[in-house]
Amino acid sequence: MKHRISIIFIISLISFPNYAADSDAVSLGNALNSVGQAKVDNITSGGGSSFELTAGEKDKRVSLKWGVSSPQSVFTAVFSVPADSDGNTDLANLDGLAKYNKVTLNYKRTLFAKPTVPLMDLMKSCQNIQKKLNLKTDEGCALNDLIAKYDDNPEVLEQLLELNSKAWGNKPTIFWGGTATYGSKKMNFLDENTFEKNDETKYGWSISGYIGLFKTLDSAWALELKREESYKNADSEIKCPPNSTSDYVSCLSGAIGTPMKENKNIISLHYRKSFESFSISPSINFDNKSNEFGVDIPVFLFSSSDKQFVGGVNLGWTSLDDDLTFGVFVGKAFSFF
Amino acid sequence: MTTKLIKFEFKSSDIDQFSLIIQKSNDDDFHEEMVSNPQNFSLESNVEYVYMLRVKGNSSNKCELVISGASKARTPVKRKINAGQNSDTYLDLLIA
Repeated sequence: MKHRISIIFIISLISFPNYAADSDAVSLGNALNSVGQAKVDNITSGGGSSFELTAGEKDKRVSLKWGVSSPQSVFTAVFSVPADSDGNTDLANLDGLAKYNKVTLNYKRTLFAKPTVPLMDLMKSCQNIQKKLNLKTDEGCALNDLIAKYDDNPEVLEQLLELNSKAWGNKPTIFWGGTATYGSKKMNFLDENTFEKNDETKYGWSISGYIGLFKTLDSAWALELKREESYKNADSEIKCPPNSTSDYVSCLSGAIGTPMKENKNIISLHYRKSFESFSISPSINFDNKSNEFGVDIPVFLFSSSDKQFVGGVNLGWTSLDDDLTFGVFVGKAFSFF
Repeated sequence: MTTKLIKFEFKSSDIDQFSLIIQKSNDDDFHEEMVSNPQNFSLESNVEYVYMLRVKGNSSNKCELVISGASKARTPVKRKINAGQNSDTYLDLLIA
């Protein structure tokens, strides 16, 4: 196995006023950002707007993310261009569009489970409990305050927990979303007959849908299905055309022949988990067209003054070339106001 | 039947996720959910409604809900997630 060390710097340089700043303060986007604000290409990244620079051996990109949020949804548009122009097709992950100039639209929405009984029934049940406890019934029903107050009274606690379970539908909070990406790339190659340098601009796209759940606020799972069409260079070779006018032989190296279309059906399992002093955002990817696997494991270790995780280390591996990458990323804290 | 616009707005909050549902007290077929902030709901004048606020977050996270335009409603509603808990559930009545 080849081991390569790449150093990835992800620097969130500036932020922009949030289009829906008030609502963003209470949003799905905030929940997802609690794991880490960098890595804008991750489907489970949160809301807000940022500028991001990614630099590394295999993955050099400049990205601009613009986002708007409502309390239960996030829409982002990520404009991204590769910062390297060496035509290297060696990818750090299974994403065939990783080297493209591209725009990715991502919409996600969270779904709270519906209560299992009408609200008025919940309200009356709560008022009955309040009356039994000689509490006022004209100040609303704050279920969690009652649970905290009577946690040493098993009988009352059981009734309150049952009410709370009915109020929440007794199900985890689900979120779903989709992405659409369109991009272009100027691809250089050598004509397979004349060996003259040539180039063509190729276009690629992908669409994906995903569904996930918050088991608790600080951990989320998501399953994503993606269909992708892109182009990849033919294998690089060194060609030395015969030369009758000189004793010297001139050789050319590069991809021989026009780029080849590549279709992928990628299934990805994403996970985000925030701990006290670090958070992780790993994903496992499988392309069922080529039967290739990829693993990406960002570990957020460093947080900013506002307790947002913005830096850490990144491990990556693909079965494509059995190549392990190790990197670090750092970021700069930003605020919406 | 006359209706009026009742405005629900979260003024300040560090809560990560919330859900606000409104139902008519005597007719649970009427079911509205807040999808933007602020949001106006068209409710029947002088009719009683019940709403439920559910929030998820971390201990000590706070939020403040302001209801305006109603004939009778408790406002602002200030909620705080209790220590050791990661959610809060609050129900109340209002008259549009």
